[in-house]
Amino acid sequence: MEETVFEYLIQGIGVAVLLSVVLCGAIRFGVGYYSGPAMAGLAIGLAFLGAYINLLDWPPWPPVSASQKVGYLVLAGLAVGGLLDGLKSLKPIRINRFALVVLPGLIVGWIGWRQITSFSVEGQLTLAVLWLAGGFIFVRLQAAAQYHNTGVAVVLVLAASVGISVIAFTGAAASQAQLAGLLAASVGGFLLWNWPTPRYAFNQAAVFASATALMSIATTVVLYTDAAKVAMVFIPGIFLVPAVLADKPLAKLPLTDKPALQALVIGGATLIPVALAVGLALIS
Amino acid sequence: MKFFRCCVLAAAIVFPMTLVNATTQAADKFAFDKAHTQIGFSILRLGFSNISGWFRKFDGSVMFDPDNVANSSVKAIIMTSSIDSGFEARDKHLRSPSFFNAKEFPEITFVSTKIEKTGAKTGKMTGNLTMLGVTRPVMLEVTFNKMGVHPRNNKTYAGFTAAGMLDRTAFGMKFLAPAVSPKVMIRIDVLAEKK
Repeated sequence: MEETVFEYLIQGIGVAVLLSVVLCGAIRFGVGYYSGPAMAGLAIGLAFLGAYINLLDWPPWPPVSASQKVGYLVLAGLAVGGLLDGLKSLKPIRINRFALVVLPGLIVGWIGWRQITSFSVEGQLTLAVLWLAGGFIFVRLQAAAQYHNTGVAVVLVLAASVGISVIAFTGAAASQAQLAGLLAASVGGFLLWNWPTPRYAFNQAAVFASATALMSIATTVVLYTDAAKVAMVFIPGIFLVPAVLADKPLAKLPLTDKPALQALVIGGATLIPVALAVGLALIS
Repeated sequence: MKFFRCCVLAAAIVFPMTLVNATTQAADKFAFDKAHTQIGFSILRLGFSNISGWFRKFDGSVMFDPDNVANSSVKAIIMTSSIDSGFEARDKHLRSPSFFNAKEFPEITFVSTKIEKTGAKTGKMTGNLTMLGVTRPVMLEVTFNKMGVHPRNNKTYAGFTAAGMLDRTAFGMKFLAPAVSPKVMIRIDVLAEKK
């Protein structure tokens, strides 16, 4: 057990945080004052992939296991997001339609193809729920990045990845817990640059890389581990928090016009679905 | 004369075929006696001690030709979820994607490709092991213990012991390596019933 904790903390999270902080700064100052802040979000996906390679080595092609597919899926998400950042003329609504349908379907279908070919009702239903949840997460994260500040989007991904990590760990899936921890650490490193003052945009590269990583890991945990599947139901609920708090409740709270406190309040509120998810995983 | 030539021609065609049939029929099929066969492994953890375990569900067969061992072959299939290391919490972890990923890869298969005799009762068996969707060659040292008739049921049995080592990371099982050794010792004790 001790070596598991050591592996998890040092080799996983430590490397991801370090890579995220360094890459974020390198992109920002390397690209320059005008484009740097808009592109720094690339660091999240790059840091995750760097930590992933450090832990598991780059997977072979074609990948065999679900864990190996995670690397390729996050790379694809990062590439798609980076392309969308470059094509600034594309309207958000078209991005959402693509994100809602195509990417979650790709993730769930590629990782869960065994369930598709098994023709079992339970398997098909699980895939359908995963697809819907994935689309929901993509769209909500997109909205958080667009209509709230960077801190809010980061906090949502942080909460979701921590929740998935703990759920996976309770299901004895330490390697999946580790991957979710890498994502949490990658966005955490980005948050260090953006709190209390949001400096860099949670751009499309950050949205797609984060959401793809979340969906890939969550799909693997649901389909191929003994983790409590019902606990995972609360994870998409995390992405509802900004919408629930956005209107009057948030406006009534003091000092929430400050981005740092807004992220803190929303982050605190995400603890509710996370706690529910973890509690359910522990008692299942 | 013509009739004699036809007879010689027919004999020339048929006789080699009987030899071929005799050769292929010399390898008899033996099926694993699951109650008396054990497939085990052992792995060094943090350099302190070995953790041993077994696979409880499997099936296999041996085509055994004692007169021409090279003519023999082995096939085996192991259910990954049947892993048993004597500690359920660890077994749960072993079945997870961190190790054997039993839900995604429910079976481990072995098909021998070559068996060569190295001594009166020993040999080397090379075959393809498929685990976690990856196929790699492995070599096992085999000892032929005995073949004979069981005193209780009058059935013919053959007993073998196979041992070897494989590198789990070659199959993509890299979690906790090298803290938990990448080298896994394999020991298989087979009792096979002649069919």
